[in-house]
Amino acid sequence: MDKNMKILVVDDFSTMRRIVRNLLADLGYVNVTEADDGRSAWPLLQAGSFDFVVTDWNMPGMTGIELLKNIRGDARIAKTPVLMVTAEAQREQIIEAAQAGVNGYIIKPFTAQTLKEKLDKIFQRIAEAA
Amino acid sequence: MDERAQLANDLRAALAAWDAGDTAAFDSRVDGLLRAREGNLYAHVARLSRGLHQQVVAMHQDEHLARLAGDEMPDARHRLDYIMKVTEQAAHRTLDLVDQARGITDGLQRAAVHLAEAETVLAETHPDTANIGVLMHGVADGLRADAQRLRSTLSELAQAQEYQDIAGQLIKRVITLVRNVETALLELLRISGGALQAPAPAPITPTTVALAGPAVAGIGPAAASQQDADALLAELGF
Repeated sequence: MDKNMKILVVDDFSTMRRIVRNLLADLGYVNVTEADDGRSAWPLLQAGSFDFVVTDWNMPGMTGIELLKNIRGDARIAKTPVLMVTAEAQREQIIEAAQAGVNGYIIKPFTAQTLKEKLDKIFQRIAEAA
Repeated sequence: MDERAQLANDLRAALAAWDAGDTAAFDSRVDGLLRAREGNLYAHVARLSRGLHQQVVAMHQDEHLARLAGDEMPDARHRLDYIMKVTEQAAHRTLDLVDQARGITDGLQRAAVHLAEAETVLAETHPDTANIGVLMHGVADGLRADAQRLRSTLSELAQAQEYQDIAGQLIKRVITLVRNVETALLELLRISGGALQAPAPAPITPTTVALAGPAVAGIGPAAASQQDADALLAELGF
């Protein structure tokens, strides 16, 4: 996998953004940009060619699920893989995210190992589909 | 003319009519008296209903308070207990990792000692280069291992801070609850203070936090674990 891919990390808690950024750096992904909710992420996604989005669900402004739906609804960026990393752990929510086209779902608190597994799985599927 | 004087006048007029033998005038006076009496009754009933209405409004307030006190307060207390627990765990985890990192510095010290030994050997007239090679090799191996351990310790340290996200989300919810209690109490004060004031609209909009938020054991519907989530997504073809 291209370790230089552009990744957007969206979470309203700056500590969580730092943690995800650190974990990604450990896995070799260093080209990371941060946004503090869906609303501030949206113009970044519109402007820059991001290869991957990691987003929280519960955020003010625009939630992660809305961001996901917006991404899937915009032809230019619809194919961007989205990994949801969230404390929302209800069955209905996981199903809603799946129906909205999420590529992976991680429940907080999570481990570095879980993040690695989900990333590997997502990229493996993308490679298989290509 | 006040009510009493009016009543006295009417009674005197009725009595005068009676004494005069004017039955028609007497009947009409008495009818008037009865009508006035009914009017008073209606006014009284109206006052009672207004009072009742206010009671009902106040009771409605009590229901909100009962819900806040009965359900949401214990719920908030559980969330705060949970926050205590995760912050305590995170603090211990952080301190453990700091101890671990301190242990790694012992290895760095040993490497420095070995380097000093190598320097001493090099300073000899005929330095034993083979011995230096062995020393250096040992130092390099040790440093590499220490660097790796330190790196993973630092990663774990960073990750141990993730409690802040969960605790922050839960605290936000408790703050919302406290604000609701404050509003309800203020409204209750206002109602009991101004007895004849028009009833204000109910101050509490039911807390509609659409999302379930971080799972806390014992509160709310059962939450999925990462394994549950994986299984569910696999079921859905992910």
